[in-house]
Amino acid sequence: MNPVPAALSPNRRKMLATMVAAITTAALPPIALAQSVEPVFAPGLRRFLDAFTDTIIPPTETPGAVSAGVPAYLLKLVGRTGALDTFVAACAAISTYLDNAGGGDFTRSSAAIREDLLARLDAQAMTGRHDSRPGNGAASDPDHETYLLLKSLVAWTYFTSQAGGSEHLRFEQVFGPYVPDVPLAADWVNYTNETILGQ
Amino acid sequence: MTREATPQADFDAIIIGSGITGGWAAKELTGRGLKVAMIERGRPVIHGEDYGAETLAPWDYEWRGLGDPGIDPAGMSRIPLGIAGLTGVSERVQTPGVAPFLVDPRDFPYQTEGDQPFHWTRGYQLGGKSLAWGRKSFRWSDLDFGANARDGHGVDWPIRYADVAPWYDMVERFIGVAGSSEGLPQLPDGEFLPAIPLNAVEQAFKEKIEEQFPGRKLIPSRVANLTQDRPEQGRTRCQSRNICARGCSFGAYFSSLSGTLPVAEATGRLTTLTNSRAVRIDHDPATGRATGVRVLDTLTRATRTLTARTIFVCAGSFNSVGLLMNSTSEAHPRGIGNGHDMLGRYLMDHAGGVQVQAMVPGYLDRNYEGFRPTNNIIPRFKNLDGADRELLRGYCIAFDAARLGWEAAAFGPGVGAAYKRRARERGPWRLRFNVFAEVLPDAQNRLTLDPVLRDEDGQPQFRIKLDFGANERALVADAIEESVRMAEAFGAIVTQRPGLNPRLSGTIHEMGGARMGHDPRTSVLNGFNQVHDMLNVFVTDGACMASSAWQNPSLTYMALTARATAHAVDRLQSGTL
Repeated sequence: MNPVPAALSPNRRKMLATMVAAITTAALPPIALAQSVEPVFAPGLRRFLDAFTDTIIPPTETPGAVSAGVPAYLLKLVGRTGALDTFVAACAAISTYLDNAGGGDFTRSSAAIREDLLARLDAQAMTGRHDSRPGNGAASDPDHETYLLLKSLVAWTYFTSQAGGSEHLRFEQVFGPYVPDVPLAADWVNYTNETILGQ
Repeated sequence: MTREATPQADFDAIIIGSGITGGWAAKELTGRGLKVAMIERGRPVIHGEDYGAETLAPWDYEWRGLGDPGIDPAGMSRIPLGIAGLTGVSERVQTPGVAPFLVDPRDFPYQTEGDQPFHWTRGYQLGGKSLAWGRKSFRWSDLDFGANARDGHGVDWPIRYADVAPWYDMVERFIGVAGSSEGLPQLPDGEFLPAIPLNAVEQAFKEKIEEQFPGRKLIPSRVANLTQDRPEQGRTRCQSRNICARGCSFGAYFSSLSGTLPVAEATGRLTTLTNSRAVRIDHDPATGRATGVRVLDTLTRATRTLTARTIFVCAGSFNSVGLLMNSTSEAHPRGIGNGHDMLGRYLMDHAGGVQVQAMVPGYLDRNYEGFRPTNNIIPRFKNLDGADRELLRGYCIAFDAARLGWEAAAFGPGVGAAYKRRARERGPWRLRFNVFAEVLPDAQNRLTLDPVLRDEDGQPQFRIKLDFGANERALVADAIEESVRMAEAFGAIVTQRPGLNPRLSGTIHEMGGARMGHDPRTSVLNGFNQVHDMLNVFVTDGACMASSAWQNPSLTYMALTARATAHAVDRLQSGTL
């Protein structure tokens, strides 16, 4: 894979990292809702976002990222946080990286090639760490760091969506008495609402 | 029910605050025949009906429960640090409604001083913070009540365990505490419902450490969540949801709303005023006795005075201290109970915010069902004779073992279908040790009134200084070391170990400021929680504490409140109050 210059400046990575850390690790309460407008996004970058998120979380027997509305929600979120420019720059950086790595347009590659390219990038970026979120180790390469930020956002958005949280995972609220020790069921599916702080 | 009825001009008692101690004062005083007004600065909340966030999922909110990022551009929490202590161990994804009963600190400003800015978590509504408390309910022992006298830090408590034990009994019987009897002198047993049991790894860990580290025990937390139905109180056993802080329409955990206030209201002798803030206590200079409370209607801004024969200050530690401080007069130029400048001093909390984590090989065929609303503890095992002069007092370690859920895979390596599938699968077991250390009384940790800044109601803002000292840091360092030793003895692989001087945080157990003591020259309250120089004013919340001990304090607050109400009624009936 040919390294390319990072398109995302250190300041922008820092800004994105702050946002991702807050979103994916903080416990925040609901507050008054406000109007939000999906920002204008260049068609090419929107195509990249669809390809990128659906490669990370593809449709299987449960919805994939695009069906779960991940790209649209991400754009809405960064539009509201004021981080749209940074997000666009991050996407552009990774898009360029993947185009160079694959020798062509990432978004027009086959699903298998896209997954192979992203798997290689992911393996490099996750070297020496077990958690993609900020604060869990430093990436050695700026593009790796940008990729991990985007992946963290994609993962959080998918698994807190209705499709991700209640179709791919389970969401249940009333169990009755706690049962401390049972065999692990072969068809076990994790609950969205069983979370563990500090993970 | 007389809630919101127009109060009459004369009550037997006024209770300021409706939280965990105000609720107990209301239950006991009305139950003993007194006509009572209860003043709550926050909004009314109806048990069950107003727990609207109880069943919501992340996607039910436009911003998945994070709050509007357009208002919080950096996405920083509106919840003060320490929320995990309130909500138990596992509510991150359940953030929608995680704190409907805690205030936004930006709406209720205060100032901090010192090296460690204090994050003040408050609940301003009917029921106060009892709607969002951690529910851990531990008795103190004479190791704790005698600690100040033994090592000379703080003043001697005017009471001992025997004074409080019958009131612990009474409170436990009413609120329902799930727990196990262990026969530990440092943690007296009580009247328990069946404990919430240990899971398979916790049981194995318990056996290992109790064998390898004589004197240590791992026990289920004693927690005010019902494990048996209480039909006479309209309460149902815990449904293992672990979303207690949103309010529980099952009434499974004890709060003022699920427990004490319905009983008080049933007497017909309770008048509850919400959106009503006590801004000062009035007194008669001729008798030296309190005569009533000046009350600000926070909606209309109108002020009026309610009169009563006795006053119970249960506004929450800092607010109770501030109210006394703000009640200045010619006779009390620095506030009630403050002739000696002791009021506001010796603030305490518990030192925490430090966690050791370790991964456990094996046990992959074992699982559990339900989300337990608490964890377990390793009760204090250090310095049990109180003789250690290098490391004063002690600590406990909150402990749990749990299998990792979806987040471990979702933020872990990989992409594609295999990565997605892993998020559905049970992860390995992880141990967590949360350190929880006693804080020594220190006169420099204090609350004062800002001479210039005003709060939302035009009252002086509080200035809070609450730093942790060398002993607290030494206790935490020792606890980290012992946690690592125990994890490794179990064969676990330590994956998170705080450094030598970790950043500590409080545990939302603010207390002190109006400490009890024998001597009116060095303390604010006597052994029955009465202000030394104004005996018909009782302060029974955490402000009264003369030391912090290593246990969660709310059970002791409730027991002291019940004890003080009995004393007040006896004195009122005998005409000596």
